[in-house]
Amino acid sequence: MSGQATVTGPQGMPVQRKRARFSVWDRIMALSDVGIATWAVITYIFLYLPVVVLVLFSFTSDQFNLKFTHPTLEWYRSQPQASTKVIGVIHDPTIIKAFETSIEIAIFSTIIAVIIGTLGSFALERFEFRTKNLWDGLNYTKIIIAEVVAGVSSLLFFVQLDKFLYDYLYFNFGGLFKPGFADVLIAHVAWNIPFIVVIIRARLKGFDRAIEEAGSDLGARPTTVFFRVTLPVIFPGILAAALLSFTLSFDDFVTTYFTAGPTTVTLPLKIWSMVRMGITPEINAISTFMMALSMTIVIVLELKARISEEIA
Amino acid sequence: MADVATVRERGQASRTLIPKGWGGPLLVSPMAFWMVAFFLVPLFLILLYGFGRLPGPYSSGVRLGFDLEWYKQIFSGADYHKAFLLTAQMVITNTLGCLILGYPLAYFISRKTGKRKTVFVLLVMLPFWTSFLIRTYAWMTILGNGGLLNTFLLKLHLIGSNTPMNIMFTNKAVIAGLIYDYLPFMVLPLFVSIEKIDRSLFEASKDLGAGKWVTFWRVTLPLSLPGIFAGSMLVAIPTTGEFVIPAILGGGKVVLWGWLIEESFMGMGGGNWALGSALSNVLLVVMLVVVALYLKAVGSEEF
Repeated sequence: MSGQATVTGPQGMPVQRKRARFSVWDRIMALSDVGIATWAVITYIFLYLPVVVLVLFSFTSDQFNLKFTHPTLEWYRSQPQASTKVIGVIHDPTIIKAFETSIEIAIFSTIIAVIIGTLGSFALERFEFRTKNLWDGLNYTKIIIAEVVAGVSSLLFFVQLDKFLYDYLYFNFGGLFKPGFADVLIAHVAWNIPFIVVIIRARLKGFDRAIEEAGSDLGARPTTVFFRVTLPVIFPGILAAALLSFTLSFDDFVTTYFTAGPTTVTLPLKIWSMVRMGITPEINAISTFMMALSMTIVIVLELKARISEEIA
Repeated sequence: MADVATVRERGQASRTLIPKGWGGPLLVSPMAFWMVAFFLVPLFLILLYGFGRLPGPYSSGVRLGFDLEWYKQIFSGADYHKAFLLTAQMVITNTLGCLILGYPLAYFISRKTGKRKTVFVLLVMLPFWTSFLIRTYAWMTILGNGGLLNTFLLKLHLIGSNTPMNIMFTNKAVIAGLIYDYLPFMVLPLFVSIEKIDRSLFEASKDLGAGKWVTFWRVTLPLSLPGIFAGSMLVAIPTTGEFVIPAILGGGKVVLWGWLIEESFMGMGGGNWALGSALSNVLLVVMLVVVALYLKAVGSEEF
């Protein structure tokens, strides 16, 4: 076959149509299916290798984390004793404290952010008012802005707020706004709200308002319609948003780092200070534990979504 | 008939937005308060203090003003120029790296069907749900001088036992960490846009005699451009302020802009917060200009 094909045109006239030539690239692309599959496999290995190594090396008995000698659980469950310096993560009081702090912050910030975010989503999705675009834009700005800038600005803000209250009102709420637990909580809520709004608005967009009308036509009061119709329908969205918020908050390092001050230590902050001392199987053990928690949440969420999809 | 018309009208009216009343402003007010008080105001404070002369937050006397000292220092300092260029280089390398690694992957996933597709997408997202910090830290075990990579190369006799490959604490380690951490941000938008392409277009292209390369170059690639743009934004913008990766994998030797900001706030002796604010302002302005130019070049309707 030459590079051109002859086709008969509408009036029976022969039409010369250029036929795309098979280039060198096409020969390469002939192998493309195999090539792309190989590439994808390599990329997946790239994505999972570090994680697998991390998990694997949390079970090594080599203290310097260089060789996998033989499997052990000592990094997880060793009792504190004088003969060895090893304390398993489940017995290390600083790690337990950090874990508790992380969980507290994640739970409280999620509760506050979900309430505020759900109300905001309703406002942005169902109402028309003048400042709407402003709040929408503010949320998107928060999502795309470099987290380090948001972090340092929070630090500066809280320190100055504390100083301002002390200097001008002679009352700084007992140092409530000094970098610490309250600041981390407040900053996490601000960090989570935009993500929650994105998810809940998506749920509200797909909402068939006819079922609300059906409710009110059948004589239900607006509050009844809200609690018996609207809320159950968007509930999966709220749940998804809450779990996302919890995970974001639990895993967050940058925002926490700048707002936590010296006394509030979350698990990521604990890992950070340990990493700066060098690699140890103990860090691997905490990391493995944190990953297991986050991934369980995601998988449960995914399965739930799958199930509700199948029901629908 | 009039009744039907009224009902229909009512139905349509109620499905549109409610224009009047205090409902909207009332419901949005907690969110508005939180975002203004704890995001917008702090951001303004940073803008303000970048022009102020604050020796430190705990010292007395906040002298706000219009002082350009910190900017003079930034624009005339060779170290800052170097950090700026290195950051730009890292942003570009990271974006291209993610694109090159991620495009074939997104293409591969989009051609799978049914359950497999979901599984492959989930496999990309799963590592993304663990802490940034942990994912970055995981590379230390691999890239260190006594790490997995060097052990492997040693076993293959590609390197001598006294001459390990120095990757940790260099640009290479930082790039590896960046691409690793940001890859999902690229793959997901790419996947969505490739997925959206009508499959009959591929058939049409084939029927018209185009080979696989021509089809890819003239059909698939142009139609997946929105995904490429969106993915590039999602990767490039956060990379500009990255400081965890250079801190862990660069060991403080790879000085990026985000690391400079972090050091001026949290570094030795309390740092210099006014300088840190000025550095943040430079980052914000450069980002704003680049994003505006980018959106103008590709057209914001692409998103």
